[in-house]
Amino acid sequence: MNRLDKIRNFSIIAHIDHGKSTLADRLLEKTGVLTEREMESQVLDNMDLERERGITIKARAVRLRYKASDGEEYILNLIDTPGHVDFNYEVSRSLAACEGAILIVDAAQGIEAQTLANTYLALDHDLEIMPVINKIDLPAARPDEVVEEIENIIGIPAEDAPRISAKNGIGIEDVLEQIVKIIPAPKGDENAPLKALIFDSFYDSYKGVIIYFRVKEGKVKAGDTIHLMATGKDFDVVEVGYLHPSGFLKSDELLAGEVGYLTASIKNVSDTRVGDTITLKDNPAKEALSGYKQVNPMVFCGIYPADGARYDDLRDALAKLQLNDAALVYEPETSVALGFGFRCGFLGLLHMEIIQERLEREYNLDLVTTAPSVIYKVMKTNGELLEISNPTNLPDGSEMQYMEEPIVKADIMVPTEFIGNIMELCQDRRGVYINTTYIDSSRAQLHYELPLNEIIYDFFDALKSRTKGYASFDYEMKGYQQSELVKLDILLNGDMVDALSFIVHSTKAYARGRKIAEKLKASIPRQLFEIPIQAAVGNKIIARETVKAMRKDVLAKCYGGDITRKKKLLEKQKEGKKRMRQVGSVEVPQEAFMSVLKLDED
Amino acid sequence: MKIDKNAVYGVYIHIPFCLKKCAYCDFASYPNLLSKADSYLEDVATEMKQYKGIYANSVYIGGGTPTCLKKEQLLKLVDKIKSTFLLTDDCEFTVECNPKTADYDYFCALNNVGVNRLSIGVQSFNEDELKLLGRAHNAEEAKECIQMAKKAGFLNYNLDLMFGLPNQSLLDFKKSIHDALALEPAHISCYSLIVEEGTKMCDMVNRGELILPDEDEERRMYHALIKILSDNGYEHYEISNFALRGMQSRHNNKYWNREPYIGIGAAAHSNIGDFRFGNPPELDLYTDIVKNNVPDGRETEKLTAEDKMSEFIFLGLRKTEGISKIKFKDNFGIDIYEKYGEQIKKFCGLKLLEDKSDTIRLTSAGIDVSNSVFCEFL
Repeated sequence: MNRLDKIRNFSIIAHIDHGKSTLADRLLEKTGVLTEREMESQVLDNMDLERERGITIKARAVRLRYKASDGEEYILNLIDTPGHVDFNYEVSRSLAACEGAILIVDAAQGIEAQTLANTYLALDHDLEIMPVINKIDLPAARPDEVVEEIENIIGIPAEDAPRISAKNGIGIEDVLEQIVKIIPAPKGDENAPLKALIFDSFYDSYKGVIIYFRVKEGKVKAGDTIHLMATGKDFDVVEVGYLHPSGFLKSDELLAGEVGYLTASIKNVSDTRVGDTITLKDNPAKEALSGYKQVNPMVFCGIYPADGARYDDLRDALAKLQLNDAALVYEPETSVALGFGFRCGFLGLLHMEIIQERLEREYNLDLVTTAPSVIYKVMKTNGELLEISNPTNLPDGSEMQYMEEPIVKADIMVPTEFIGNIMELCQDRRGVYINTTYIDSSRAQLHYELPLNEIIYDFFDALKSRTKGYASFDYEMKGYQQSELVKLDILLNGDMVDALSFIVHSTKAYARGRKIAEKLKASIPRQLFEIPIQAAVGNKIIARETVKAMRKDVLAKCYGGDITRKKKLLEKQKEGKKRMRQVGSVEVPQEAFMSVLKLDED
Repeated sequence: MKIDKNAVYGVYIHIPFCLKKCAYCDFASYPNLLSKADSYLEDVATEMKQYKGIYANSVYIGGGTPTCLKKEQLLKLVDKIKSTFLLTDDCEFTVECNPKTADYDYFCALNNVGVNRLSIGVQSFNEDELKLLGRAHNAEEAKECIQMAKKAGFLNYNLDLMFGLPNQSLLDFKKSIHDALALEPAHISCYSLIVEEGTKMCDMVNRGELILPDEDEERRMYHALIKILSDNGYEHYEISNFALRGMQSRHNNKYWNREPYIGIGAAAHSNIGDFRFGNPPELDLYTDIVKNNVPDGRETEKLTAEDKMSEFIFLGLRKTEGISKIKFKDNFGIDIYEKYGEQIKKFCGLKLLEDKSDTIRLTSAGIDVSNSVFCEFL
């Protein structure tokens, strides 16, 4: 048996909640004993430092050792995949690093939309699919039917699929045996020039950027000078190794077919793009691996600190997040309503939400964000072409010849019973119907062209709610298209609130404006005077609401002579006001800015 | 803290006992603890000692329900007060009482020892409302109580009323006002219900068992109150207080005018010199402070010049007569416009304040939203 025959590289794919991480944990548990050699090479100070600095190792690729029933010991590399449409490119690169994928199907629920989407993605990369039926101990389990479903719908044999309960540790051995049997061993010439695929990288303040990669051809070791073929950068390798369930383990070299990490004193993750090919400077590969693409931010929004004094903290936090996230871009911007902040760009809406949540949770920041926007192209009458991601920067209507907006090609996989609902939704979002492909009698894929600005708000949520969570959705950029777009402004007590402006298709301005005005009315507290809320396109008011003046804010009670208590109550009230944004004469709570982001909730 | 021996003080004595706890009450008052009254009154006497020889032109025994003490206990307390402080000839001497806790003899005894003002907690003359509030008396008993007080010689008495009560209609409230007027009080204090955290009523509101009148209805009640009382000759002199000519409460006015007062007893608050401080409401903590002389147990605030200026505004503006710009300058050596010009102009512009000759006062609309106004002077 040669070296490669004892390696298996695989991912686990599943619909959410079908047991992906539970199975991964079980596999680690079953195999996660350190060999003696590994014990020795497990550099203690390295591990301790990591522990001290509280770094959570981003375990994207773990090496397991498994002694199979044939008496041989195999190396199993489990490569994790992120699970959302925003990160489809990352998923595709992780899959490209594998020869096979475990497909988990819930024995009670059977195949679901996401199962299919992920399976097709894996098949696109010519992976061997190994089905596993999970949760067989549930009372509602119907494993025989699910096996049939897999065979009929996906068209792969599933008769021998392990029937397991990851939760209760049933059948895990069977899974390990089948990984060895079914998933092909990697191929690749270790003596050829180095070709290694980057499928993830992250920044560690101690080691610099840590690259996760799969060696397709050749080998790499510490001391080599590597060349990254897409970014064109060269680095001297400091360390190579792989990830054991208990931490980083150095090794002498990594050879074709293996999966591991390297460090090379790299300062910036933007130099180590996912999908790039690593080769050696002195003995470079002729061609890079196929499939690299530069991912560009598609969704933009303004992010401001709720407390203006924390602008510097926000800047530092963004800088730190960017170290680990080449797809995040940002630049300073100012808003009359919100003060100093940043215009940030994201891969998609989920990416945006993740970053916002990390800023709030990990950096303890209170944020105010503006409505997400895409990049619009504006042809001015003087022939100048502008790219606009902040609605405030849109030139006056008289200076514009026309505007273009980005269009995506969207594939929506949906149970046939919901096709009507989804067509209605796409219609409402200005979608252009292309066609429908039927996967079987119960599932179909709808193909649409949709304006990106129609899907960045809440399209995903809308899809889910209209299909009981069964639809899945994928999109790719198609290009730009001329469109009747207008800028919708919001005025509070006659003053325009720049942070609430956004660009919208002219046919939707009225409905959107009315909804925003309603939302604002609900979230702006009564103040000492009546506040008109107006939505306007140009000089035309298209919607109006009014926040009535406050009727009562009086402390009748006298509290004996306890003036201190009285004062404390007033001080608390004053504090509450401080947390609001002063927009002209109106105090606007942060929730008001956020409430206009979710317009389709009701 | 230095006590100015030449100043004239108000004295507040807190009696933290009640027959029962009302549903809305978050004051320091404890039902079923009357057995502790003797030892409590000893602590009060001890605390009082340090003020021997101080002038006072107002004494207010409040609670709780002072008249749920035995007559002898309360008379002994009055005696103690009179032998400690130098009471001026015109001293206003108020005792708070609740219906059913004092009879004709009790009132006569109080009248005899120089108590010259009563404050009677009737809150409402509507039986349903009284039950909801958890009061220990009904409307008839309240009326009888007042008749007895009158008969015992009290001409100067205040009635406490409440509005904005659960299920209360404007008409219900108007009826209570007229019932109160029929009893010819010299003074009426009328408070909008505040549902305080931790009270029984708060729980009931949170559970949805009680529905409070909405803001608009509540304000209609307040405005009706002002109208009816002024039609009947009562001057609206403070947000929640009304009096016949010459019958304003001296004691209350001390709070709004930032005059000095001495608080004695659990939960009682003092304003002496630059300090505001309060005793703890818990009886055992209070005893600790008095017996072992641990003044640190008091919540104390030393007022800065800034504090005093904002107090001048937010306390003074509670009075309908408003504040004097000249007095502000006399007190603080700075023009009120130099200090608060921006705020005053803003609120005058919104017609919440009015500025006429020497006086700045809340307008009627300003009273309704007075907290929002006061906030900006902090």
